[in-house]
Amino acid sequence: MTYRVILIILLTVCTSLEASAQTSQREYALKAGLMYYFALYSNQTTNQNTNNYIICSSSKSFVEIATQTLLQKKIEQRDVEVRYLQSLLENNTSCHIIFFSDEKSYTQYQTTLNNKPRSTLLIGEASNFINAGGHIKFIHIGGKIRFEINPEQLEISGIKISSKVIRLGKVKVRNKS
Amino acid sequence: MKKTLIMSLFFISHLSFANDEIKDLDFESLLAADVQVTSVMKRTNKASTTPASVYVISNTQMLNAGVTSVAQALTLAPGVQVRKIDNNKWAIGIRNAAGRYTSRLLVMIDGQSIYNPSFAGVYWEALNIPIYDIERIEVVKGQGGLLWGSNATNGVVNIITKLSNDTRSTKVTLKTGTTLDYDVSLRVGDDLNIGENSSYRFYINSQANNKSDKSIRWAPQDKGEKDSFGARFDLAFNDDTSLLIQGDYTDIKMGQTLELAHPITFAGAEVVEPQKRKHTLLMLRIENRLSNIANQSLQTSYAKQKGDQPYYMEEFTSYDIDYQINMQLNFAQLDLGANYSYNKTPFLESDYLNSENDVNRIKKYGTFAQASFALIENELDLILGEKFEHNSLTGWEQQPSIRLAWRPDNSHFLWASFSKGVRTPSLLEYDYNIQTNGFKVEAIFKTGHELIDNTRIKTFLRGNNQLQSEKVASTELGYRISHNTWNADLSVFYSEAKNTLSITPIANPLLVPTVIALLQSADILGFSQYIQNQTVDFNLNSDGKQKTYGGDFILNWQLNPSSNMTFGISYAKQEEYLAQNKLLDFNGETKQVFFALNKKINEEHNIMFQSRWEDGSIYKTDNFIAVDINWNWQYNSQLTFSLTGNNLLEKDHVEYARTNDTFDVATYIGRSVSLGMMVDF
Repeated sequence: MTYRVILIILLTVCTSLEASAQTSQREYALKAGLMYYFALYSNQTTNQNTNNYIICSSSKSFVEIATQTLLQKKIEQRDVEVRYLQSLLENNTSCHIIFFSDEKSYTQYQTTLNNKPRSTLLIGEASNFINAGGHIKFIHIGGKIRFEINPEQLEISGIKISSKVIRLGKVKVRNKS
Repeated sequence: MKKTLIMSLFFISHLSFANDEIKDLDFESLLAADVQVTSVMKRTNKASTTPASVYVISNTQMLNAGVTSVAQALTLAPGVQVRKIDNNKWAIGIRNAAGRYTSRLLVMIDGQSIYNPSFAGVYWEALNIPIYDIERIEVVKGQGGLLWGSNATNGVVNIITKLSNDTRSTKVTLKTGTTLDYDVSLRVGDDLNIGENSSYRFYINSQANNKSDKSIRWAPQDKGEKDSFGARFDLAFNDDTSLLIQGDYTDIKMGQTLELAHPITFAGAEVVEPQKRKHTLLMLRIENRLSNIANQSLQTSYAKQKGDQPYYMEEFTSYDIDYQINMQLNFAQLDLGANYSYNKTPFLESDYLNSENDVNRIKKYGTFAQASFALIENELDLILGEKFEHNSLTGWEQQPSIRLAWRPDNSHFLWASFSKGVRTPSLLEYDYNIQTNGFKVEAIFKTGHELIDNTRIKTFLRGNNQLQSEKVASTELGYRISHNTWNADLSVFYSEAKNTLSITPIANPLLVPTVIALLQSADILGFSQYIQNQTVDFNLNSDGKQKTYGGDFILNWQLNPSSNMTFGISYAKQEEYLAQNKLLDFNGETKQVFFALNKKINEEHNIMFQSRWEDGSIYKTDNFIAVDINWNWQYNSQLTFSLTGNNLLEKDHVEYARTNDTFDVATYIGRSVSLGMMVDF
């Protein structure tokens, strides 16, 4: 009997180890869904002639979940493609959205780009993302996902975004000091 | 050993249904979705993948329909029985006849119960939350006892208000009309300088109704006023911990016509005195994400209701603590919780009411556990749960539930459930004696002398502290089908309740022989004096049984990108049996056919049409068709006008005529028109 109980406990623990990925899946799926609407309600000049609307990320798990979530979705009659880039510093010119799942990758991106604005929607979740020049930052409030948005930075980058998105988000202005 | 291993492996599978739903959600719904699929917030998940009969009324629907109260908003949910008694009072029920004091329906605001244990009901007229600040109203038809506790045997209504982060603006609304005298509200919201993402809102709301043109008896007096103010604070300390503080205060004064026993003749007599109530709600909830797989919440709440009626004065206070922890493991999603509730119910005597045992406090405490297993990945889920709860009136009760959810593919969803729930007696049933209209002598024996036969004897409805909780066992089945432009939802149910209320009339055994002797000696004066001092008691018992069965069908169809329609048909039948007598007449059928059409003409204009046909037999009224139309005109980004017509098809009709159940004299609900304006700053 003891052996059986130990076995059940071991199985439970082993399966639970994977569980953190389970919840992130839902969170990533929600974020991917919101990115789709950001794209739908914005007007970007970048890569108008690409066949697909491309969302790039260096997070494999985000790419996996977002691909499932955005399957068959279209932006201006283009299929939405979620692309994995090992390094966001390379091959990023075709990206319409870049999702930075950690602070480090965004800092490197900005340094490489020398803070020059480009018409790519930059979305992240690091605490100082907006202050560091990002466009939209996901936040958690009351068990839900909300977002901060920087219309000033979007304008500098030549991205027009619907007032509906701005209204639903929380406007944050970059602290230039 | 082999069997144990197989069982263990059987449950090792990813929980299904959680993420697939997201791809179909619109922008607002994504923002409304919880990050973790748990019941920590006592919210349901997406209605289409919940193994229960759930209908969600969205904020957009409420604004499109131009409703001015939560009770009226419930008319937007097909299958919900919503009846106006007069221009202020409502009788609302699910899967049985609506009642002003129905206790089979649990109503909550953001998870805080507003149930009143004295009269076992909800004072809908004292709910005055601005409609634009309600995120959604979830209507769960059927048993909700496992998660929400006792008195949810027929359903749960959960009013979920918006995060204050989503209302960080100033809004003013004004509305006036033929029945609605005025409805004025102001909300102010902004960021708070506490933490990274904290915010607040304050609101103040004042509403008044005109009185009806006529009532079923005597002159209508239902002119009413209600004033409220409240605030909500959402403090986010970091991504993992947040604190919600909210409070509301409502003061109502509503005219009414009551039929109460005359102090001398004991016959039903007109009493015209307003109802005055003061309601206070306070709630504090801390939510904490322990890890990616677990979160917990602790909610404490305080409610005070002070009521002043000719037949009933009350001052009820409740303190509640509720803790929940939710874990999403690979083999199961676990929800565990514990609750404690302390209710102070001091008895305040009136001309019509006295207390048998002076029960002035009710304590409740309990615990629940629920586990959801994926038996077949992405296809078949099993949800098991049990709630144990002790209350100081009837002791320990348990409310188990087992549910199965099967999704053979993305279009079809089938579910089945078996659950048991409990309805605890109200203090009216358990402890109070209430004077009702006097019993006629002819009901005991007929003399043939009209004056004597119509003489009434003082009559009391007597509570009984030996009452047991009503125990309801329900079996439910449901099927949903979803396609690109339409979805349909069918649910059927069968419930058997035991320990339902019955009545035993008890009179002095010498009453009849004494009356006969007095009449034979032609001593009319002696008869009159004797009968004046006699009483007939209707003693309440819990020895009845009731079965209820029926079903709902709802079709939603997106006709084109700008138009969508909802069609619903619902039926329920309740049959009381094995009761000692049929004096409590709850038998009958409820039938409803529902149709709604919303047309967004362009970015500025939206028209919503809604109609309900309802059978009136169980309410002792004619059948009626209610037709409502609302037109919203968004003049610019700040200004929206609305024109609303209610009950447009009929000049007027009575919706609830069971005066004996409530003492309220119903009025004719007339056609009405109102004009509104909403300004966003």
